[in-house]
Amino acid sequence: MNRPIRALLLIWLALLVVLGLGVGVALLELGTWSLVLNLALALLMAALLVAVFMDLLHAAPVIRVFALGALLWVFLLAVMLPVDYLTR
Amino acid sequence: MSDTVTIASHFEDAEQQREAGLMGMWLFLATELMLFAGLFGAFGIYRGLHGEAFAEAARHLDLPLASINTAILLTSGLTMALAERSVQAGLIVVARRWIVATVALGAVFLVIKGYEWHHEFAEGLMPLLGLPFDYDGSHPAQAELFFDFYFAMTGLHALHMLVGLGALAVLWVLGRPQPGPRADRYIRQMRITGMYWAFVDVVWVFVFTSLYLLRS
Amino acid sequence: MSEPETHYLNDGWTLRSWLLTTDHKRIAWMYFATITAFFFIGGLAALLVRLELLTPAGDMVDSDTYNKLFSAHGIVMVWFFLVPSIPATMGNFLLPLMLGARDLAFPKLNLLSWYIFTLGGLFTMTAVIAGGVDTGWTFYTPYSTLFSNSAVVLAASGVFVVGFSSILTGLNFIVTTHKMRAPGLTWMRLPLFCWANYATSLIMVLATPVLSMALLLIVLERALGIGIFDPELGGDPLLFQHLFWFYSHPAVYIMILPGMGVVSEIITCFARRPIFGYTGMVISIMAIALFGFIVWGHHMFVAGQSLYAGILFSFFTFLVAVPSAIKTLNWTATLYGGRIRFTAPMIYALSFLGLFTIGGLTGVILASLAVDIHLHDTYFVTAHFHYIMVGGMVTAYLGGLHFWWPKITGKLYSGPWSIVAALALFIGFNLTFFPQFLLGFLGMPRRYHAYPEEFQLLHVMSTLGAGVLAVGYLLPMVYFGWSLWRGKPAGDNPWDATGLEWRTTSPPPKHNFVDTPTVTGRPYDYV
Ligand code: HEM
Ligand SMILES: [Cu+2]
Repeated sequence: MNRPIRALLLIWLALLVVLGLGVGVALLELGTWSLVLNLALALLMAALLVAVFMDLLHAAPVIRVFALGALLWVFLLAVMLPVDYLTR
Repeated sequence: MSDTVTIASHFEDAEQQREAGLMGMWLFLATELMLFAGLFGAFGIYRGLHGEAFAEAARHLDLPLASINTAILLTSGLTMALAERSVQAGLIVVARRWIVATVALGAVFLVIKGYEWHHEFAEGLMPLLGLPFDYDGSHPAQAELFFDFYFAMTGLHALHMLVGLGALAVLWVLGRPQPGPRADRYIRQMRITGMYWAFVDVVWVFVFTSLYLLRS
Repeated sequence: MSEPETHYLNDGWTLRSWLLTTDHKRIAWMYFATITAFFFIGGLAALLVRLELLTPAGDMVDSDTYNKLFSAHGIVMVWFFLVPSIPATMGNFLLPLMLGARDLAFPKLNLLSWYIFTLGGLFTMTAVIAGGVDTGWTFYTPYSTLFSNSAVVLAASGVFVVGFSSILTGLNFIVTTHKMRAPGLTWMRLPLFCWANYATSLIMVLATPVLSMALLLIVLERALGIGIFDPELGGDPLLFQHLFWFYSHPAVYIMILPGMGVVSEIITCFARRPIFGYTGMVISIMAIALFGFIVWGHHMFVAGQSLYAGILFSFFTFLVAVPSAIKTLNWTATLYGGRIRFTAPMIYALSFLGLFTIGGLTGVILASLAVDIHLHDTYFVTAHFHYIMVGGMVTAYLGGLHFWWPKITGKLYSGPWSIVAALALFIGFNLTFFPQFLLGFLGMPRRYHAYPEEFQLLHVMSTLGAGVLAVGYLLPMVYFGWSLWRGKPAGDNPWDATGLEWRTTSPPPKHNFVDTPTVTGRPYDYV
């Protein structure tokens, strides 16, 4: 609950830095590497947003389990959906 | 504390009421996540099938402008978090200023987005409603598919922004300094709106990455 | 025995006191009324379909109309009856009572879900009247996109809207189960009905949005004239099937898990024995909810999905049958050595057991990749899912209604007539759908209104059976109506059942309990 202003500002700066990195990586056009790095950076930004701006860090244990569950379900979709397309 | 809080008749105490509300919001956001997961899943499949065409189409978008816009949205996430913090500290007047800042940043984001859409419309890159699609790259058909997704994704995100802005406007109106039980309720509403707003940021991060950044 | 003086039913008689109520018990009634209406609308379409199939020639309606009839039947029955059936009515009514709570966690949201449900229903009914839909209940692309001239946008929007109603109900149930349990009611003391609704709610919350997105993409494709699934642009019509079944296979468990919950309650009560293997039951409920998500490809074996994906999905589908088998085993073991009372609810529950087993086993047959090449899109599939959805879920719905009717209304209904109705259902059902297994096995495809002569006998049997089945569904309307009007007071606990819902008066007071109950032991302490 009591997130100090300094922490919030730091996270905001971190987000902007990661954004800059992402744009940089995209502009370098490294092909598959850009793809992987850009997705990783997006996940990192999402993690920061969820952990601090949505305050998952201080949420009750059940809530953290829920968040993990939601992630697992996205993962299920992300893993199972391409199976067909990758093996056609 | 509990004597200053209104508790709905079916709850036992303020703690239960607060936790139930928070849990409900988290679950709601989980469904929102799955909603977008379906959309991104579909996009991901096509990105895999037509990688080259999609990368080329992505280069037709305005990356600099969108990057600035992303920074604006992330900043609005910060102001929202500050608004929440102020409310929790009992500083309603300050909180309302942060709300104004958040709304302003959100509105700027939408204006810029609208400008981008208009630009694409003018370039003939808006294959909606039978509008002509004038594309100069080497895979016009798949590019059209890309732009279909572009408008579906950014449009759906903008819709979520509008809902968030509406909620913020309500919070601003409700937020005249009040004593007692209302304050507690206001804190809860603020928290829930803050979560929603941050979630909309998360969605944008993925929209931005998928559409603008995957260009090679 | 006498009725309590004040209870939720006589707390206000105005229309307003119903339409603006936030009492979960009254909202349950509103759902009862709405889904019963949908059940009879869907039933009417089924009646027309069965009448057409009496003769080999397609003579009663033309093929376009026939397509619209079975689509209307499927759409109404699946989305507007079966998905909400048990959760929105009995779940709504009983979950707070079983948990010892005064209401669901979000009473206003509960009311809102009913309005959303009704709104979605209106959309879809408008579509059915204004031209109809010919895509089948699955809205497959490209039938629903490139090649449809019917009211797809409206119908799909209706289903889209209704999705939010189930999402909100699921969300409400989950939070309620987590946060509103009475003192002493730990997770492993929850009645299985609560567990079943909890698992169902998880599926509703996590799967429904993916369906919403799939439908939204269809609506966008048609309304904005874009080409998300259009092969000419490099789109893939199969992608829609993937997204659709990512929801809809789990959704078939939305359409059976609550029934399993109901049956568990009934069987222990009338066998007078605690449920066999409670922990195993809980684990299998949750396992079904989880593994239901990784088998969807078994609907696409012959649709053009890759062979390797087919093999994987076939394998997972065999696995998902295991928890269902465990449950069937446990119910049977509960019966073993019990002092069984053959009341109407028990007959429904036993019918469920038999019909669900047949439905489940034929599912395993269909899950065998090679066999499905022959059986896919035949009447065998139709029979399979009707054995589960109608023989299983609708039977459980009626069983639950008969079990809790005295609690819900405070009245008793006719014992003999209810037994007649339950038996009519069992006989009528088998007569209707068993011939369809044979038809499918002999190669009769589904969704055709004309067929070769040699299939006629089986089709006639099926149509006659549907007549008997209809009696089984209409009869309860009569004696339930009578019971409301003239029924004897039921008393708090006419079946001598355990569970918190039986500890309050029938009908319950507005806030469910006079004093919050406490729980000190495991559920089902019969004997
Ligand atoms: C015991 C586990 C089950 C297994 C192994 C199983 C297996 C299958 C398979 C392999 C198919 C595809 C057949 C084909 O289209 O060729 C199928 C279709 C179907 N199943 Fe099941 N199933 C099971 C349980 C259920 C349940 C519980 C329900 C509903 C409550 C259900 C409802 C359906 C429906 C509606 C279809 C056909 C959908 C359509 O094409 O219109 N199944 N099942
Ligand atoms: Cu399935």
